Amino acid sequence: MAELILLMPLAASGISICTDKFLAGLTALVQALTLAFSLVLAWRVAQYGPLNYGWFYIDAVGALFLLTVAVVSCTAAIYSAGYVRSAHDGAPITGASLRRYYVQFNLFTFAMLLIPLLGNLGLVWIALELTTLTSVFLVGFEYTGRATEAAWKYLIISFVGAMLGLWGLVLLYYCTVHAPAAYQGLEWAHLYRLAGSLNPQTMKIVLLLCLIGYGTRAGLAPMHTWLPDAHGEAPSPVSALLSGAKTTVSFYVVLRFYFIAVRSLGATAQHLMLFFGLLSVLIAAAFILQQQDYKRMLAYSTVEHMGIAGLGAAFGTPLAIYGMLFHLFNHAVTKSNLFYAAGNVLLKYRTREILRVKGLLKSLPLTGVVFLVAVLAIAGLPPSGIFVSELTVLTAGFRTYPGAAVALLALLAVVFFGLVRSMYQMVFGPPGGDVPEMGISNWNNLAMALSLLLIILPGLIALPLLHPLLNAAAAVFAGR
Amino acid sequence: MTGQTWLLIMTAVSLLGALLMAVVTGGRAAVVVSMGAAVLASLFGLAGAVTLALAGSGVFLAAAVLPPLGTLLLRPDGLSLLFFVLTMLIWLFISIFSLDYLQKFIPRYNVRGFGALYNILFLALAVTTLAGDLVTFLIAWEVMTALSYLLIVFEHRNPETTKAGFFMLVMSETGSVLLIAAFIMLRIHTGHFDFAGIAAAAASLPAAVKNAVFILALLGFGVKVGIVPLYGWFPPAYAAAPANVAAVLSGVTLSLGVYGLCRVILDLPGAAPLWWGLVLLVLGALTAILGILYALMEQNLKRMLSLSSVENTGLILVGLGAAMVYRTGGLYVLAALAAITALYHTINHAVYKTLLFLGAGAVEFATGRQDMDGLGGLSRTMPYTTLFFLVGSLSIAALPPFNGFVSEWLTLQTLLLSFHLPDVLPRVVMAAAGVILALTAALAITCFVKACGTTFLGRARRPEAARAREAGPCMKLGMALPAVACLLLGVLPTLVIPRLNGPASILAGGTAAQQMVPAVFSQPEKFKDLVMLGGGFLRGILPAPGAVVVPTDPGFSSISPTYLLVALPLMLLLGAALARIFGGRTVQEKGPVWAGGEERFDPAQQYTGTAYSNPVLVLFGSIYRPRVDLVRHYHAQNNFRLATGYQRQIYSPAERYLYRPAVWLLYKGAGLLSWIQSGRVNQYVAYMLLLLAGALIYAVW
Amino acid sequence: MLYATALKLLGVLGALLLLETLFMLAVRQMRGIIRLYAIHSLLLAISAAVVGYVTGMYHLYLVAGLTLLFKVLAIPYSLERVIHDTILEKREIHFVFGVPGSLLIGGLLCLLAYFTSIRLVYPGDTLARLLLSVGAAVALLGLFIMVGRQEAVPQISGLLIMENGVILIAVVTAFGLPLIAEFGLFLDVLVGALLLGVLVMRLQRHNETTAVGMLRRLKG
Repeated sequence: MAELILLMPLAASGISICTDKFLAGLTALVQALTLAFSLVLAWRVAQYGPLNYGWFYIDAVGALFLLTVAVVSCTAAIYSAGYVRSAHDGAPITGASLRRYYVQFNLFTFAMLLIPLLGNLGLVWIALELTTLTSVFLVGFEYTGRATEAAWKYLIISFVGAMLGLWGLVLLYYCTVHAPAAYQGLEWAHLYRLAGSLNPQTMKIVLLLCLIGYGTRAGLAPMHTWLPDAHGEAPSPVSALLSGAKTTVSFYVVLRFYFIAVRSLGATAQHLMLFFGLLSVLIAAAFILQQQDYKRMLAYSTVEHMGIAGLGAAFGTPLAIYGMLFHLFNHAVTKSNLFYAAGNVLLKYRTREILRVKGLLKSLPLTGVVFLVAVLAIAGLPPSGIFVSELTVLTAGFRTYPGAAVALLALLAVVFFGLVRSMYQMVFGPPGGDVPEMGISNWNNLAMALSLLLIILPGLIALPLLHPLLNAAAAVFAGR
Repeated sequence: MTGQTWLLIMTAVSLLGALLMAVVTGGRAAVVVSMGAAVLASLFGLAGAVTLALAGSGVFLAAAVLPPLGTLLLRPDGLSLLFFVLTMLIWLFISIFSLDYLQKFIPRYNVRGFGALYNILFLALAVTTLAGDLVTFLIAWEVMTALSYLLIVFEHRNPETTKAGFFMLVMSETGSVLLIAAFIMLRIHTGHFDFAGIAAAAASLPAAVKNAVFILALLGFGVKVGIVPLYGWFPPAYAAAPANVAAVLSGVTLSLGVYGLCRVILDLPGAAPLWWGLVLLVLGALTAILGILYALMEQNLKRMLSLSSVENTGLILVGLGAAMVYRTGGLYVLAALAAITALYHTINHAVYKTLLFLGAGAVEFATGRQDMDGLGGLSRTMPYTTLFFLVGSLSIAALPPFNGFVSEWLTLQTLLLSFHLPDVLPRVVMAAAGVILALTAALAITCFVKACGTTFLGRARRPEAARAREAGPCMKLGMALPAVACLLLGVLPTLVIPRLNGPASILAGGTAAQQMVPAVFSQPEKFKDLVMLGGGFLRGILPAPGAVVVPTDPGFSSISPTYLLVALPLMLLLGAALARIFGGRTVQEKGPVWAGGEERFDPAQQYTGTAYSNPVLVLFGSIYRPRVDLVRHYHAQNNFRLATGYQRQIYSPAERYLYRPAVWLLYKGAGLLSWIQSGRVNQYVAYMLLLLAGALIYAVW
Repeated sequence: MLYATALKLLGVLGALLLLETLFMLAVRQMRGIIRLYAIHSLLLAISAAVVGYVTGMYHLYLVAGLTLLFKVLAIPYSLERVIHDTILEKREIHFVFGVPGSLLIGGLLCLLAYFTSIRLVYPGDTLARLLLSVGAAVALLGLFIMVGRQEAVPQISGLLIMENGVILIAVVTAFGLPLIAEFGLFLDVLVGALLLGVLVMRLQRHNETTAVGMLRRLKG
């Protein structure tokens, strides 16, 4: 099953090299099938426990993140189908350019789907590198000076993070070599089991290196600097993938290391995570407040939500871990939808300045409504999954770290102010006279509608597969 | 049918009303379908509430699991049902009114969206009242906030409107954040989210937690109900909202804010320290007087009404504070009296403020204006609207025989009874609050004399006002119903008060209905004094223990509004008759209005609302502190001065000292961090180097 | 006897690596930096081979071979090819810290690397005692080169130096990673360097500069 999940986007990527006919539909279909297989796999894991064969190790956590990536990839593929038809100021992307887009798109999703399936942290490191390498030219796809600048910063800073992550990985391995337990290697399950016997002094450095290194990809401040550039400059479906899937799956890697360290270091590890989490939310809040570019604003909101997830991990109780994992899922779904809506706005208005977009409700009614609902959801209003998961994280936080939880709550209010202020100026008002005539493809609307469902549903009912999986995943990390 | 079935039908009808908006074509049909559904739903809700109330309190309605927060409960008790009934009633009035009112938006705005949001908002309001746990309450509360925001900005092409809506949403969310903190603290220290569990474990709450919850909840709900420094969003948002939405805000969501205060401050934490009550009393008195003072200065009908809501919030808070103080002092009967008074006033305010907003809506519908100084003379073109607005004004100005009188009288009586308290401090505070409330009542009369007089009397100041037509039948019905309710609530308090006994006992820990409505009818010999004064009036007709309201002690004071209804006209008749008999002949002579020597009387020469309220401005100048600017108008091309004028603006202190500095600070703070994302990749890498160096040092330290 | 000589040799190699890295802080010539990187990688390859010989971990020979192939030959060659001739001829005039300042900070970073690494070494682990701090110092210095340089090529070199440092750490502590990870890592570096090179070409085309430190269109 896992092979199938990986093979399909790989095959789609291969096909994309050869032809540019039906690529959009094919990719959407392939990603939908991948999602279906991921659902089956996740169901099996939820039902029968972790799968472990070959290089694969899929426990509930992995299945959860696999599902998250698959969902976002699927909607992004659907959205892409509409996007490529009018990306160049209304003109479709064709020929070699189209092939290049889909080769990289499918490879990128392949790399992201790979990460939660692997059990060896060394391989995870490589897969994470693969996500960066396959997405660099997607970020620079627009082929402009700005896009190239963003791609450069993305690649350079990601590489520095990768090197630090590798450093941490090596030291972790060094730890196991000299640990009393007879295990040498980087299999996560073993490491997690043995975490108590690892040298805490070394583990401290390992944790710090991993937090900085993998946190770079996950968008934790102050290593987040590439994120607004890359997410802002990338084509909108790619922004959705980056914000929804890539940061999420990178955070998953952070979590794998972090929870080994928590077993070895206890509260010290939590304090370190607390530092990065709070700093992320703080910096994101400050930049959301003064942002003039709506795509960058959404990117900073990603930093903020990674910070919230970090705080959830730092709070450390089973409830907090549950809330944190749930939050990552909700954020992935909501943020990708926001980038779809933002993409439609960009297609129509051809500007990314907040102040030059007015009257969305009139000029793009569906996009306007979705943008409005999704911004309110990402800002934490119910009924949305984000509300539930934030409330969960806060509830846990008030018990363990009340100071941090209070600070988070205050910053959430600030972020709300910033996001809604920009949103209402875009959504309402009279539409400007110079908005080009331009229809939005039904593919785009389909992608938005699908993810809108996933934004709202978890805030109202207990979803069948998701919550058993979350329970099991929280149990894995809570060490019960 | 059981109450559950009724409520299920209510939910279904409401959802259907929202969903049908997706398929209905045409604005008129959309209005009829959505508002019709709302009318039906509120009727079903009323039926359900009555059935549930008859079945007894604490009914379990429904539950759903929302992991990991636990079970979401719908389990109303007496207090919940009271507010549920109030919501249904107000909703009925507003929905009937809207059948006509919404027509004015059809050509320009999407009324289908309005209809859908309106019906979902109804469900959110219902769930807010029926919630049996804090999470359900919070979700419904937030949904209510979001939806009422969307309805406020319904006329979204007007930048002023959307700005006002944003202000409202941000303030509400700030309040919600405080509420979330309060709720989570309750959850952590009691282990429960559901009301019953929290109330059961409340005795073991540490004092610090209780105090924190009190302050957070007071501020959090304070935004919704408009406690003094937090009411800033009221005037702009109410003015921007369509009149029916303003009525919802004032009649329903404000009442639900009161419900939240009752639930989280009075019910859940149990025994309270004395200072809680005193804080409520002081805040309430302050809110009342400042609210009415600022209301007096407004020329915009809806802004004025919103500030008058602030004043009424103050009165309700004073009642709740008195209940708390009495409860702390162990005087449970007096506490119940105060609680009943507060609840009664909440109901009254909801009814007459709805009526007034609908009246303002009818005026706006007919003239397109909300400014009193541009209106005038509507009594001739819109007689019914004038009548209903007058009823609302009399009610809010606390004149008998309308409902405001009863609850304000009871509030003052409650405060006067403070001599029963052993401590000096609460006695002084309550006496001072009483003095302030008396002044407030006087100012309220001034305020509504101005509103009614300027809007409806005299002659039209602008052509739009002259062209006004009377409101349509549904609008008239929508205003007539609350007007009748004002009268009934005013003359039949002895029917209402026993119904408030149960809810009040939840808040006060005691009951007072027996004392407040003594059984004069069944035991006339026991209340000989009352009977001698006419307390036996209507015996056998009124299905109540008596027609006399007594603030618990018949020797202290008593009143019978029912009796008043009959006596007042009689006295008037008597007066007229006496005048007829002794006054001699009256001679009527008609002549032209004196126009200061001008040939013709121009409507602009009339006394304006601004002029009417100016003495108050002068009198309370030290509170208002108006900003006076010299404004010079120049010709566009050359520097020729066309006119010079004075502009007087009144900023509320909250805006001057709270909101503006807060926002300024926020942006200043954010600006201080903007160097972080300078665009230099070297700098970004430097962060990582510094972090790494710091990490290495930290790790081996 | 041979073992002791090998250890001594490793000591010398470590010192050379460190010195060369410090020297790179002061080099302005683009082509010079690329050549120095090739030499750096060569020293690393020799070190890996020697460690493999000392410990009997023969797959380290493979590491040495891959290093030789990729980092001594392929990457410097392709970097020179990929980058425009005019860029290669360039001298970087403006350092962020200046040469003396750079060397001072570099020295401090070496001290930091030494004092932190030495605590991590398990007792009796001579190899790690000898070279762990060198690896850490090289990695830190590589990162510092990236901070201090505004041109694209020196930044790439800084990154690659950093990577060499981390590989050295891996070689002396863990005797290399699992084989598959090893391959992946080398491919990653190769592809990454190529992508960076392509990006430099694009920067030259779109932004008419390769001074990446001056790219400041995306901010706030």
